[in-house]
Amino acid sequence: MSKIKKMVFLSFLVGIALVIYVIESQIPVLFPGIKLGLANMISLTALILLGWKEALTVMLLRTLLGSIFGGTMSAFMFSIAGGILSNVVMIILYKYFKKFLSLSTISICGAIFHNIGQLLVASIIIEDFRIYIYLPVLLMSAIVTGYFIGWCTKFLTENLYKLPMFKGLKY
Amino acid sequence: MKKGDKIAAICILILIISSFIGVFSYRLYVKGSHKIAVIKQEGKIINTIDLNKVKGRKQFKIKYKTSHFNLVEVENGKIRIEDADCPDKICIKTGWISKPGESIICLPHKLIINIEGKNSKYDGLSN
Repeated sequence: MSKIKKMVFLSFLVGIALVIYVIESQIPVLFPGIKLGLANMISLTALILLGWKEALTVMLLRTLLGSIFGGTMSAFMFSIAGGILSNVVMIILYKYFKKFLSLSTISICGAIFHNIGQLLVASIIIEDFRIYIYLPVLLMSAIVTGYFIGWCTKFLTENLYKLPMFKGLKY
Repeated sequence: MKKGDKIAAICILILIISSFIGVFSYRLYVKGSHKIAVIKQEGKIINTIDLNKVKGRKQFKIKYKTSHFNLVEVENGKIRIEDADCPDKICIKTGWISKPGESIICLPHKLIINIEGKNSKYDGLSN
């Protein structure tokens, strides 16, 4: 795929991720900055279709721009921490274990680490680890959103594979 | 479903169960009729209140960086944040807390109010 095509495609992905992020901000959450992480669907798609560097790029850009558009500074820190941790985990799992794990599982693990990352930053900010009391609740929501994201990504990539520019790629 | 899915599912299940056990044991450890509300801001304790000794209804304001505030209200046995100028107002939506182990958190103002029970390091009033 030519560089320009790739760049345009990445921009599309970042744009879609931003829209998802902004809509998702309207959903009420436990404490400010904690997001469901639905936009991770886009990072996962980028990972499968393009590669890990592109996935990280999409995530970083999306987090940066998303916080400029709709979040606060603390929301930015949570998103970055959760995003990086979850992306790294998903990249490793996808690279080495994709024969053994289905997409939903990888995405669930990503979502879990997304929440763990967010709680880590929050606990550092208020200098109190007791915020981890929220962990069980967040884990349950991580599993649900993770599964949902894995499902959506599956549909998305299955259909995107049909595009001529992705010919030959397989999961 | 692939081979590794089952292993992953078991690991996740263990994680969830242990986190529930962790939270549960913390609540048990901190249980008791003693109720000390500990108010921490930016990691430093700024107030401790023995909720059992509170008579009537009291309010006080906690300032954050001159222009921000949280309005805390205490009655006998319970405490809450009544008003605040943080963007999300989740601390207000949390409402009253009265049991050891419960907490109210205002992340933008780096504020956490915890209720400690019989194993508390703190006692009585301090300001």
